[in-house]
Amino acid sequence: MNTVLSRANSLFAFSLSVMAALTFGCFITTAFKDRRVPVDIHVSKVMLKNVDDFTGPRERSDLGFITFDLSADLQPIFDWNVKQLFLYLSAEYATKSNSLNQVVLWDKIVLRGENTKLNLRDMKSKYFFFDDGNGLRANKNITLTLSWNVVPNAGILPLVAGSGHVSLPFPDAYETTKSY
Amino acid sequence: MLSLDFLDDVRRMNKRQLYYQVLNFGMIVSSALMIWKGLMVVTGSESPIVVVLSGSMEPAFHRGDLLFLTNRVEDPIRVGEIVVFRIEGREIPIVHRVLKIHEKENGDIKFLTKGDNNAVDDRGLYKRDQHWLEKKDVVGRARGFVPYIGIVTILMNDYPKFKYAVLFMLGLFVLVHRE
Repeated sequence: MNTVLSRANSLFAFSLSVMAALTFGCFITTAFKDRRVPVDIHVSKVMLKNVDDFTGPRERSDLGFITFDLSADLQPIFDWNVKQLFLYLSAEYATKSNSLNQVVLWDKIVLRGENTKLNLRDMKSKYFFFDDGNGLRANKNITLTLSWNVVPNAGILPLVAGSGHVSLPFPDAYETTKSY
Repeated sequence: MLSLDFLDDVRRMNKRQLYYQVLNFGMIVSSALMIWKGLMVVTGSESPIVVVLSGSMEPAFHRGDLLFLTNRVEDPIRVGEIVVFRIEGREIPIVHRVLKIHEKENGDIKFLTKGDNNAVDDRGLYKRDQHWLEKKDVVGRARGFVPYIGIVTILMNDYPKFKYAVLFMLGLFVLVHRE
């Protein structure tokens, strides 16, 4: 302990061990927490078109338009180990050609410190709701769920579904007028 | 000074101690290898720990963060999950989020990804005429995360001389240190 080098070495080693212990502490104290909160989703408008899928495979596919309202209080989820929440609204449904389809319609990043009370009205979807084929027409059951990915400062990355989803049917006919 | 100290140690070693040092070195290397291979078996992924290389998932992950992956077959791919995948023919793994999935009854799944920080989905990154990713492209699903640690790997990749210097010093240190 009598040279600058050996002192620097032990200081470095000690700070590394303290940081490792802190990181592990962050992880272990929040690893088993329940990250669910109630969510309220309401759909105000549903419309269906059938166009060439310009986002990818150029086949005629069903294109859905949903206008929705969202409200949730995300405050209980944030603690010392939550860096951000990645929220996403996903639609889940089954068609004749695919037994399970999931499409993300809208997403949002909520950082720690930002407003945690979600109260959105008349939101349009951020991403095009194309089906793989023509399975949306007359589909009786499309379920919308708001879920979030909890990104910690260090530790597990869980995907949590909010409790509260809404099911809606799609219309039987395509919209031919140039609306939306 | 440091250099004189360990040279003295080396001079004091006889043949048997020298063999012991080399064996010690071998043990450390093989233990590290065993832990790595063990992790590969437990997680089911060929690459259980990856370093984030780009800023396309900010503000969640920055360059240099470490991700722990699993790739168990029983875990279905669902939207919102962070997957690490390789595009056929390319070496660099990409860490992005699943945006869309279409799964058939027999389990065949095709899915689309997008980086949180990118404005568009990943179809521009896939191969020509490739519109979807499949299970075989997936290296693993991100389950855990530790910030900053991977910066060392990025430094070593960007400055290969630094990597050789570190490995050389470590090897030298383990071989001559008398513990």
